[in-house]
Amino acid sequence: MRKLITLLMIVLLMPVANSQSLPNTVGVEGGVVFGAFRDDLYAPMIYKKTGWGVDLLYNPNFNPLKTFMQTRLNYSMGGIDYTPHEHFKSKFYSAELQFDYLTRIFPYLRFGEFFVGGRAQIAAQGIYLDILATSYTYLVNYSLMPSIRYSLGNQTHRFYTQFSTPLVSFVCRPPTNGYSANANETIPQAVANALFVGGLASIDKYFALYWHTNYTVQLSHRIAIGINYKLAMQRYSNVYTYKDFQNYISLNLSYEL
Amino acid sequence: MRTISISIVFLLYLLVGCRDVFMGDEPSAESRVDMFETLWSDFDQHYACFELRGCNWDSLYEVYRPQIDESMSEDELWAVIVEMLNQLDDQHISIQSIQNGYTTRYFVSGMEKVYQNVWFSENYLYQYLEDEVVCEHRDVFHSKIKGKNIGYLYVGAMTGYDIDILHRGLEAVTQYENIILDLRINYGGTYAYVQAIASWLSNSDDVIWGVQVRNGPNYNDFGEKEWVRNKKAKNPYTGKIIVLTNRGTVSAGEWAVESLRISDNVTVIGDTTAGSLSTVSMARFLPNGWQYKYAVQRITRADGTSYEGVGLHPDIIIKNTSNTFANKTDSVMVMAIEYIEHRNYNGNKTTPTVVL
Repeated sequence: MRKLITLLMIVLLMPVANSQSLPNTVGVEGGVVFGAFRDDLYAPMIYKKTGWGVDLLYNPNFNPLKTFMQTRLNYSMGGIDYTPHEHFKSKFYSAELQFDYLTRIFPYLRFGEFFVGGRAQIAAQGIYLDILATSYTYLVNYSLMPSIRYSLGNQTHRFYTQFSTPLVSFVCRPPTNGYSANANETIPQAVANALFVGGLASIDKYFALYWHTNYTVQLSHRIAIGINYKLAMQRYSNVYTYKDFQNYISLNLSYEL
Repeated sequence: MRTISISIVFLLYLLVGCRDVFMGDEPSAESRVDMFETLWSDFDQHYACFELRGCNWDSLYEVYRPQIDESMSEDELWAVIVEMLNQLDDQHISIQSIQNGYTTRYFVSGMEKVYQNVWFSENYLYQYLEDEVVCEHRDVFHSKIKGKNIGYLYVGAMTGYDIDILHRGLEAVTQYENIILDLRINYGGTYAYVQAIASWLSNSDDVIWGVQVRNGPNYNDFGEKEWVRNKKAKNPYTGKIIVLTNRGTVSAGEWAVESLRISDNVTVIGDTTAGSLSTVSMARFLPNGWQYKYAVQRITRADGTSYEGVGLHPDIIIKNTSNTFANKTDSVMVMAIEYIEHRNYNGNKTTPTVVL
């Protein structure tokens, strides 16, 4: 599995490495995260989620008139809270690496541009309730997802909105006893299992929808700022159901190299 | 641009409503009925030992659900729920209530029965030991039987202390010709401690258990069987090993008994163990602040037999009673010492009870 993931990343990032003919763009993004979270693996309650996130972006301008490419690394953290009881407070952590590759269709439309393509994503998110119980939960998924993107604007003001949903994912979840399903593993094995022992899940088991909307203003020849709204909905159903509904409002600053 | 702005506002409005639909309903922290239903359903969907323990969970619902109403106090709700969970008689089921960071109530299913039937006291044990008792932790101590070449090691838990304490105890007692390993009132722990004991004393690396995790809504929905193989000692101990057990030998304590008794130099003396062999779930929470755990696995021997709810039978059955305690003796210890010195037991070592 580790070899497969490494190979996948090399293949996905190859176009980035070969895209030095036109200026590339780097960016940084930061904002607030809020939403809701529920994992029946340890509780039937819906927790509120609040926190912050930060992203690093890299857009290789491989062929900007025909394609859109972006590599994004996100880290976010914050608190989860179930209001009726103080001791249900805890923290969540999540990290994502995603790569988008989309190509333009209908090139002569008057009212904007449509792109279709896909996204490869590796995402991990977890919580640890360390005060009263050694209870934790996580979801690690490796997904390939089709995307559709709509853009319009001019040199100064640009807007796009993009939807993505995974078709096939490899999803890892903790064993129901939290540590080792067969009580026969060492701790390093259990940690490795947290990342690599899972199963393929199609849309009936793992459903997710990502919606990203961005408005950008070009401040100068090289610098642009923007505002983003991102919605991520995830639902994984197996022995226990996991649901996550996350909003992310952020500002971004990009610089053309 | 205006159309787009209106569309986005409309979509955001839809998403707010969408969140509630997507996340689904949750039980109310104030509702007694919701607490009961949530807990009952969770056990119904995920507890692994209904069939092995011959429990009709639906019939327990019929008995206890009518006793719940919204006007009852939290104490009354607690009483009904623990009475229902006690019917499962499984030491892997526990529930506790927590307020302001402190546990205010704690209950373990079946423990009352254990306390009523187990007569064990360290006070009556020390008379058989040399004066020098090495105790690095309250759950582990070792010594030597008075005037005999017999090492004695008491292990009261398979977790909660540095595993090297256990290794040091095992190293000390293996210096003697024979060993008494006392696992009475061993409340269990993790498999690593079982392996530590086996790695000093066992001469067999046979498969000891098949483990299956419940993975579906039906009581007999389980995943593939994972085989657990015993850890064999590099230089197996060759003297007689007497393992002492009683109804308070639970979970990983029982795993330790099984991992040893497959060796031909091991004899188990005492009472039947608790019969709670699964591992437990992660802590699970109810909206009112209570948390609970339950068994999530079905454990069987390689031949398919199960001891869940039954316990591991000793080779020689002997129990302390109120009479032996009145005489300030430990009859199990007396039997173990006598057996090492005078007897040779050739009984049937296993008595399977449930065949899957």
